[in-house]
Amino acid sequence: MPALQISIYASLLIFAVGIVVKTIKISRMPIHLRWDLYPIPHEKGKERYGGSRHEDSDWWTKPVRSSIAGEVKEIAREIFGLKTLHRYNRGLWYFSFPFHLGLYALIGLIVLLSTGALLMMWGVDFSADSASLYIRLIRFSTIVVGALGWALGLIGSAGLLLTRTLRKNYREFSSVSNYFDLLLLLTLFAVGLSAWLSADLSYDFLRTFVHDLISFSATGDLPMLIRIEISLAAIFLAYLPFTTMTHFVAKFFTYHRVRWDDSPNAPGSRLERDVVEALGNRVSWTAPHIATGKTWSEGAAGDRGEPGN
Amino acid sequence: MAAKRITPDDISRPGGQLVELDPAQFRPLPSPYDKLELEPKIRCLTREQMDRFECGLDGVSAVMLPRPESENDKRAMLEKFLAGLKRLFNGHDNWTFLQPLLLTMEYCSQCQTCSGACRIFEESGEIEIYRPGYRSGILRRLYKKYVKSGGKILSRLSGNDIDLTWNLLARLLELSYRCTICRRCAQACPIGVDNGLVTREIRKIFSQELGIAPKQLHELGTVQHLRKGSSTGMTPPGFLDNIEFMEDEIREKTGLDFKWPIDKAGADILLVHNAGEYLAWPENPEAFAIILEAAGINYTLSSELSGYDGVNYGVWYDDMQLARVAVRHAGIAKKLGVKKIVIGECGHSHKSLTVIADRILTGDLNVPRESSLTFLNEIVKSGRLRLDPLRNADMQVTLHDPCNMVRLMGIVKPQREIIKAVCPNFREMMPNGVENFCCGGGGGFAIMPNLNFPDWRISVAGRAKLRQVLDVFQDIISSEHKKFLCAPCSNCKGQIRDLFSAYGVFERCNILYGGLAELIVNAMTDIKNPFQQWEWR
Ligand code: SF4
Ligand code: SF4
Repeated sequence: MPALQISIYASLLIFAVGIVVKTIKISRMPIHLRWDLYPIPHEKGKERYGGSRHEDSDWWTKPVRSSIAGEVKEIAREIFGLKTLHRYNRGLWYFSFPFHLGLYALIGLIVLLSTGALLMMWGVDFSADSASLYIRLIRFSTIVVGALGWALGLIGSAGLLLTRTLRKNYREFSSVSNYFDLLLLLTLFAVGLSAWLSADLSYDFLRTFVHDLISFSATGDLPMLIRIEISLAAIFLAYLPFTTMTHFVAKFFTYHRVRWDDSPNAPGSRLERDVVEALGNRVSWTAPHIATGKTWSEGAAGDRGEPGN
Repeated sequence: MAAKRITPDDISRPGGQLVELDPAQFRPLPSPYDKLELEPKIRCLTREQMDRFECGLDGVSAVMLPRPESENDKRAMLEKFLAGLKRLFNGHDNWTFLQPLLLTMEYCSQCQTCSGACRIFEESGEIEIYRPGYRSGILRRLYKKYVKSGGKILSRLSGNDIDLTWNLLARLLELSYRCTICRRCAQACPIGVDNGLVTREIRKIFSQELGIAPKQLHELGTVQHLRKGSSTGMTPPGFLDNIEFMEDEIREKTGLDFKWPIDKAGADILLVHNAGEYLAWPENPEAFAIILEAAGINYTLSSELSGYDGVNYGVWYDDMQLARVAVRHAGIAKKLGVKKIVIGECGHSHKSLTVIADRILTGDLNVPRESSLTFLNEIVKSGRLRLDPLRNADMQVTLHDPCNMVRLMGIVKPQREIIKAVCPNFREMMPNGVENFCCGGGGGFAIMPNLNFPDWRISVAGRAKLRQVLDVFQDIISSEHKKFLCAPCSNCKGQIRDLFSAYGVFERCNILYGGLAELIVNAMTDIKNPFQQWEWR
């Protein structure tokens, strides 16, 4: 099997394992104290102005009016509109938005290519001459979505890179990896766009490559630019889990498990059991007022943690 | 003079102050404070003070960290700091905030959106060290180098190296007291990274490992609160004296003659005020007493140690102290057998006891807690008080949203409903609600009078609030119009008092500040004379 294919398998594996490990690691961190930040979109009827159940007298006796739809709407706005950035940093949004849209389009491109590849595997005629309207529609969408992906990604990453380089505020706080990440993506978008324009307008090469990947069959010769494009994609996939670009994972936790986590500690609840367990941790901080060696519950019961308190 | 551009590397470097503060560089204020000569000075520390205390950040000393006597002392503190740093990232030692902290350390994309949201950074004229990401960037570099495996090599390779030196330690400590933990930056962060949390976590290393915290927060704060009964130093007998005094004052002011319920077992409600109110703004607890008496509420105050002071300074610097105070409060409520605790007009008491301590109070300590704003609103809406809003018609009123109650607890409407019910001339400052600006006294600042720190707190931290207040009243800014800033929080009131007094806002613009309950009582038709005194305090 050609090295190119093996590199994609390897990078997919690294990507998947990396993301899963990361997600598990974050989700297994201990329960933390509440650190709500409003607005919280599941506060039904109050989410628009940032209100909460604490606005209601005897709130603990009232049924929780939680709205999943509110959260879904908010998440969709964040993912597809970069709402927070749009609101608080419009200048950067002008580049970040096309950049993210470009990435989403490329995910769409992969889905469309895979759809085509699967249909090919099942013996469907997926050539440009296919009589099926659906096939022609998928082929056409692949071209449009792909073109959008490369172009938007290119514009966005170039803009972001320029902002980071030219604006002092950004430059002084940017790490080597911030530049490297953007540069890698910029190159990938540029190569992807060139490969499409110069060698693969109909995406037949890439689709065949995806087909060969899915069917575990050795792929044939590919034009040089496409080979570079695939290699860059492999590098990017394998590198991604080790970067801050995995904020798509982190964001789930920063939002759901921190900012929006307003679950009250109801008596007898699972949460209460977790809290009791956490309070059983022994304290090893060593300042004089800390109850070093005692559990958090014991320490909290004293006035400065001396024995007997 | 423009401030010198400071980079994260500079924090470790030896030598004097990183930044010189120059009021001419701060964002200009609106009229009538658009003249530099009206700007209060940030006093320079004296030679003797500089010799005694670390002030190498910006020439201001909030913590009064004594300069160590020997290199050995420095080394010992650096070792302890390093141990504390490691504990901060350990699930057993810092289960309380590890998850949000690690997410913050690992996922900042350096988009600088938070900088635009931070009023301290913006109002200072964008002094680099006050940038939310500057402080976090330092902790992040330390974490990556000294806590993560392979950190020493990787930090160098990534160009994010940092040296843990005495200068860094001393400056970082001060820097952790240049942020009010208002969390406006976190609200603006597209990733959900929390630079406000970082401030508190840095303070925790110093407090929980090195035993270093501003005296007013720890020794005179939580320790005194737990041992003597109140961070004001008020003892239980002192509290009872105060109550007597306030009963007399109510009688004199209103003719109403009633006893305040104290330690009444089986009452429905335990009402807990910030004890600072009893001393600095007694009209606020008095207003509560009048309202609750008139509404026939079965409540009590507590005279037990710590039970009459609802503050919890642990919320600003130390998890153990936070837990101790919360447990003490809940224990008192449990003993009295009340159905709920109602928290007076104090933002951090609200957040600490209702929200943060929610995951500390288990079993029968988990007594329900409710905001006084919600509670007062219910009373106002119930019609149990005879109210005439026209009694407040001689002034224009605006509202300050205390961060702790609003952005961090989601209590937005009740205070507005109350004001609209009792004040016909209400105007909102911008922005408001959950996007409000901090008064500048958050994070413990309002009670920290050390050296020249109050000057900084007023000129830099409080600047955004002053701007908002001036802006909202700009069309009637001259002193012939009575204007009122309602701030339903003791700490905010403390900060606003100092802010207004430094700029002479009452004399120049006739803007007074005060709590919410007072506005209700001022509108009560059963009270003959105006309850709200139009005089500076
Ligand atoms: S807004 Fe968030 S991600 Fe952007 S620099 Fe600030 S903390 Fe980092
Ligand atoms: S918490 Fe508030 S004061 Fe602190 S950095 Fe963030 S915005 Fe600025």
